[in-house]
This record gives sequence, C-alpha cells and structure tokens, in this order.
Amino acid sequence: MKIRLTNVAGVYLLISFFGFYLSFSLYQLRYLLSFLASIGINVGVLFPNIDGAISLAPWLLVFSGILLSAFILSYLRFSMIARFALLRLEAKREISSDKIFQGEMTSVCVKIRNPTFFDLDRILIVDVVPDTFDITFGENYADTFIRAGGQAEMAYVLRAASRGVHLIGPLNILLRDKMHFFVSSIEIPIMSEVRVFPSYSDIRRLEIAQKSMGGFLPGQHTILKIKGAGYDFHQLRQFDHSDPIKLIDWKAFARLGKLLVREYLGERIIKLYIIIDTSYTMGYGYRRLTKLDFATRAGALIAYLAKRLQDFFGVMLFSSTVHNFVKAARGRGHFMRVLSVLAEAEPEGIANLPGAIRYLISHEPRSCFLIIISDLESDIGAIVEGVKIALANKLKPTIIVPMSPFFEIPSPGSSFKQMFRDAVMIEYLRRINAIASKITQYGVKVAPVSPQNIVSVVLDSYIRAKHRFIGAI
Amino acid sequence: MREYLKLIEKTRSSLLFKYVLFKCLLVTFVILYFLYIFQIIEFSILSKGLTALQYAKFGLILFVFSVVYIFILFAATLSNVYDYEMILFTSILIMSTILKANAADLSEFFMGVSIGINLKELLLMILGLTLWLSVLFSISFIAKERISYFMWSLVLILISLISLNALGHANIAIPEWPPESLAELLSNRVLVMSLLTLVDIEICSNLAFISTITSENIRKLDRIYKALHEIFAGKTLSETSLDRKEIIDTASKLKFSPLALIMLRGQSGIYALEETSGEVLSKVAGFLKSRSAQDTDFIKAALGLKVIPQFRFVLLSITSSLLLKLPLAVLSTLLAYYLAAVLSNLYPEVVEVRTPMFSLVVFLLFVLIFYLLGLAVTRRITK
Repeated sequence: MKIRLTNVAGVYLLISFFGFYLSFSLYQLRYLLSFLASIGINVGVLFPNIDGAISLAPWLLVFSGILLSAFILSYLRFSMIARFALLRLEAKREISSDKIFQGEMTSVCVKIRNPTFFDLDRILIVDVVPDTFDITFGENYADTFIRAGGQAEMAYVLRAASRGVHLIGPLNILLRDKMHFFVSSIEIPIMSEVRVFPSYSDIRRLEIAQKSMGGFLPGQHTILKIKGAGYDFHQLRQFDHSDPIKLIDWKAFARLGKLLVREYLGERIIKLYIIIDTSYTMGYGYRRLTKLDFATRAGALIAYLAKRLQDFFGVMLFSSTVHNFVKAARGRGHFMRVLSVLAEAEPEGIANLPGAIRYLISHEPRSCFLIIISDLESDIGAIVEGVKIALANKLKPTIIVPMSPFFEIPSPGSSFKQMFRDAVMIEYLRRINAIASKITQYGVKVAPVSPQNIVSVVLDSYIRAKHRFIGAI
Repeated sequence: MREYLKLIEKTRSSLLFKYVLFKCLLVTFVILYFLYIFQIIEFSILSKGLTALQYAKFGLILFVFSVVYIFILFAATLSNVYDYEMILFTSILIMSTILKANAADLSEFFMGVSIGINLKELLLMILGLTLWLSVLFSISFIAKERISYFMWSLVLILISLISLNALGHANIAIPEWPPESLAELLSNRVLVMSLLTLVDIEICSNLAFISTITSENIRKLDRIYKALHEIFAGKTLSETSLDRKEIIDTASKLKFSPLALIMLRGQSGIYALEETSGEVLSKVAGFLKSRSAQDTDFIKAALGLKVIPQFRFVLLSITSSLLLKLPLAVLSTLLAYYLAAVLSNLYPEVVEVRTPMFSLVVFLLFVLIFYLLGLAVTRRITK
C-alpha cells in the first residue's frame, strides 16, 4: 500500500529543516563575526544584540528536532492505520432492484464498517457509478470520520438512463490523517451488476391505449379473429347441408328444436424472430439515443405484443457472429429472457447477415416470420445473399432500416446545415434505394425508418404479418 | 417528507453551532499566539511595516518609470536626439498617462522626493512587513482551514523574531544552553514560545481538520435539503426567478449549437427517454416515498445523516493522539540530544563531538533507528 505525502507535509518538513539550517547558520555567524572583527568591521552598530540571536541556535535545534520527531510519529501512526485498518474495512453495497427498465429508479445503499481498533481520521468514500445512470437523489460520496468499530452508511437513488448491463463499483477509499500530511487510497473491488431493459414507455403507452379501448389493442390486428378450429366460442348459426355433421350442437337442437352449428374462433399463431444487427455502425447516433437503442426499444415492444397475442417469439443479436439467440417460445418468463438479451446488445463488429440466417436455420428448421432491424451499411451482396438464404428456407423476412442521417445528423438550425443534411440524405437515399430495389425483387419488404416512426413501422410490420399468417404454425 | 426537511434543518443547525465553536477556538489559539509574539517585539515595528508598503508603492512607480525612461532614451538615441531634459519630460508624460495622474504633480513628485532612510530602518520596515504578511497568512488559514498557510506564517514569524532580536528590537532573554535550573527553564521565553508554537501547530491542525469535516457535512446537508425541497415542495418564487436569471445570463454569454444542445439534453438522459425534468422529479418523489415507507434507514442514509461523525469520538481521538504524540516527540528529541551530550562528555579529546553538527548527526541517527523500529513494529502488528 502506497502512502503519499501531501504538500502540507512538504511545508512542515521544510520548516523543520529550515529550523536546522537557521540554527547552523547562527552557529556559523559566530565565526563570521569574529572574522569580521579581525579585519576591522564591526557589525555591532547595526546588530547590537547579535550575540543574543546567536544563543538562539541550540533552542532552534531542539525545536526543529521536536517537529521532525512529531512528523515521524505521525507517519508511523498513519502507516499503521493505513496498513491495518484500511485493508480490513468491511464494505457492502445493497441495490433495491438490479433488473429495471430504462428510465426507472433503483436505490443503492453503501455500508462501510471499521472493525479495527483504530479511528479512521478522514475518509473519503466514493462509489463509482457509470455515466449510464443519473444520480437523481443523494450523493455517491462521503467525507467523514469512522471511529473504531463504527460504521458509515450512504445511500442514493439512480435512474437508469441507458439500456444495457452496467456495473456499479468499485468502491474507492481515500484516507487522510488529521494533520493532512499523508494520503493513502485503496479500491475495494465490490461490483454490482444492474441489468437495464429497454425503455418500457412504449409498452406502457400501448397498455394505456388498450385500457382506454376496453381491453382491445388498437390497430389492424383487432380484426384477426376469424372462424376456425380453435377453442374460443364464436357463434351458433343455422345448419347448412355442406357443414359436417359433427359440428351440429345437439344440446341446442334439444333445447330449440333447430339444427344449429357451433362455430369457434380460429387460432392462427405465428412464430416470429426479432433479428437485430449489432454491428458498430448501429451504435452511431446521439448518446443513449443510438440506432441500436431504438432497435431494442422496438424489439421490446414487438416481444410484448407477441406475448399478449400468444405468438411464439424469439430474438437474435448478430454482427460478425451471432452474439445472442433465444429460441422462439411463449410466456412471461420467456418475455423477460428476451428483454434480458435485448439489454445486453452492444455495438461491435461488422454485420454478417448470411451467417446469422444460417445459424437461425440450423436452430429453427420450421417456417417463421423475421423482423430484421439493420442499417444495411455492410456489403450489399452479403445482404442480398442473406435474404435469398432466408427465403429458400421458408423464412419470411421484413427489413426495417434505420436511416442513419436522421439518427446521426441533428435538426438543421441554419441554411448551411440544412444544405449539408440534404446532401447527405440524397447520397444516402440513393444507396438505400439501390439496396431496396435488389431486395424487393424477391418480395421482401424494406421499410426505411426515422427515430419518430421506427416503433410504429415495426409494429405495423408485425400486425401485417399476423394478419396474413406469415410464419403461421 | 416534511419531517425529513425538519430533521435536516435540525442537524444542520447543530453542525453549524459546532462549526462556529471550532472556528472560535481556532481564532482564539491564533490570536493568543500573536498576542504573545507582539508582546515580545516592539509595537512600532508593525507601523514601520505599513510604512514599508508606501515605499513599496513608490518603488513600483520608480521601476515602471525606469523602464519607460530606458525605452524613450533608446528610441531618442536611435533618432540622434540627445536632449535629456526632453527625454525626461516625455517619460513623465507617458507615466502620467499610465497612472492617469497630473503630469505637473508627477514631475514635482519625481523631482522633489528625498528618501531619508538608513539601512537599519529599511531592515526594520522589511521585518515589519514580514510580520504583517504572517498575520495575513494566519487569516487565510482561519478562513480556508489550510494548515500550510499557518506553517508559512510561523516561518515568517520565526525569521522576523530572530532578526529583530539581533537588531535589538525584540525582548527575548535567551539563556545559555543547557539551562542551569528548572525555574530558569520554565521562565525562558524561547521555551514558552517554542512550546506554544508546537502546541499551536498541533491543536490548530486538528481544529482545522474537525472544522473541515463539519463544513463538508454542512454543505452536503445544504445540497440535499435543496434537492429534497425541490422534489417535494417545488421551487420558491425567488429560486425560480434566480434560476431564470441564471439561464438568461448563461444564454447571453454562451451560444450553443443545436448539436451541443441535443447532446446536453441527452447527457441527463431526459431527452433519450422523452421525459421532462418535472416528470423525473415526480418519479423520484414517488420512489422516495415508497422506499421510505419500506425502510426508514434508507432515507436517513440518503439524506446524509448516517455519515455525520459523532464529535465526541472525534474529540476523543484528537486528544488521545495529541497526548501520546507530543510528549513522545519531546522526549525522543531530548533523549537524542542527551545522548549526544553524553557522547561528547565520554570523548572530550575528540574535537568533532563538541560541534553542533555532531548533535544533529546523533539526533538524525536516533530518529532513523526510532523510525525503522517503529516501522518494524507496525508491520508486525499489521501482519
């Protein structure tokens, strides 16, 4: 453990050594005076009490000696405390909730106990919080004194401002002595993981809209209920000669004396995969507002909706390799697993769509619907090849393309910026149109999106697929 | 939440009272020290120090004038002008422009100044100024609680005292070393001053330490009180108008680009989540209410009430460490010099043992052994 001297210690030592120096100078002055007197110079006129000043020398020697001894004693005391007490500190961090949605709050409580018999004079405790959190209440540091056997406790409230898996910690501790001569620091490696799921605000909006519509979700999917061989009752109607006899409701016939046929609602469940490109270009955009952030938000909403409509849904994060894959399933537990995977999405590598599709085929041999969210900024040939492979294996993709200029270039404030943005947009659209024309010839929809409509476009794609039974089981 | 606001207010007042108490003690110790020093020296030295300031001002003007004069002289020589009276008046004119003073008065000032000062007077003035400087350092120490300021103040006092004693303007009766009796030792002004200095360094450092911790905690409570008040009671009209004024002032000084504005908004995470600061505050309020209902300890820790040191333990720690350190430091030093004296008595025929350097070498060796032994003991204990 390193113990550093502060500038205060430097001044203290300087005074101490200056005392020694002054003392010796006074001793030397005696010889100098006798030499001056021998050559006929008498300084007694100017300094009448020079002998008195010289006799101060031994006192100064003792005084400086005491200062130096006091300094060494201070060092020994501090060294003992730093080596003994600092390493034995017991630190604990408690987090009220380590799995939260983006924008939600969690509280952190840090407890430091000094189990030794030394007082910690001045201790600065700093709990390192990444900038993906906002400290909305309280402080993550404290400057205090912890007595022997005592405890300090600090707490603060964090707001998860960014999706991802974030680590809180380590705990940095800086110890100083009372005189502020010495400083020593340690890092207590206690880390706490907080998993921040994509924002729940879109889902909440959907829930509110659903409640206001009496339990039904708004949009085209409300007309999805069709007759079929399901379990939910639809209606009773008159028997037609073309109807199979097994459909006749004999109880209704006994009650009413008419041949009636019982009809059920058809259950068309689809299987969909949310495939998100996590290549490095998806990490572009504003802080906490990148293309990938929007993609994960849209993914979370689709997963929620699929859960509500009892569809099978899975997720895949890919760039040069497949980073995460969750096979399609149903249920709340599965939904939380998907959210957990979406929280882990980090931009890295270059997109390899054919590789990702091959991986999916090897794990999911049956037909399904794919929502691919990618900025398509990798090789055009590879993208087209990926689409071809998907189609050849009964996978029906829809590609959602976040348009980079909308995510990366701010709203223009001046005519020059407007010009710059327009120029970039023209070039970008030319490229996107070229890619889109190559892909759409295979019957695959390519939907360019901006931050304003990405969620609604993704939602619309899913509803359309559901309506047309794309990827139906 | 009102009760927590009241709790913070109560704790803050209690801390403030302690802080004032520690500051008063600090001021008392510093004043006592200076009173002792000022009764040793002649009081006229301090007024001489103030006179030195006037001379310093004059010296500064003279320095600027010399620089201006040299430039004019150089320029005139280059232009083959050798009218020195004209050069002088040109310099005075430029000086009057620099100082915004009347040129005629300035000319009279330069022509009519006669300095009737001797070397001793000049030395006394400088020493007086040094004493004033040490007072200023002490005031800075009291205000900022930085012990290094106090140390510099002590250095300046030490130099001034020795010089004034040599000049015969300080009344320090210094007996020969070693003293012959205990009474002589205790009535010794040097000894009293040395002890006072040592005790002052130690006590003032510790008082500065405790004051700093108290003021840090007061500031922390202030910040948290403001945040809590804003969350639960909103901003007062004066605060809002102050904030608005700050925004206007900032906006008039700084022009942010749209990108910078978006980045600044994104920095707080508000923009990214499309939440206003009001929405965030209401979320925090709800969260704090629910957490405080579950766990009252949490809210106390968040308010910073669980990191406030218990002052009786701090004072106990300070007292115990001073009682251990100071006598031990004095004893070890005296023991080291006593050892040097014993050695010089043992070998009187060796000339070197009678020199002061021998005492210092013995002392340093003693201190080194003491330090190494202490370190070994420390390591053994901490294993």
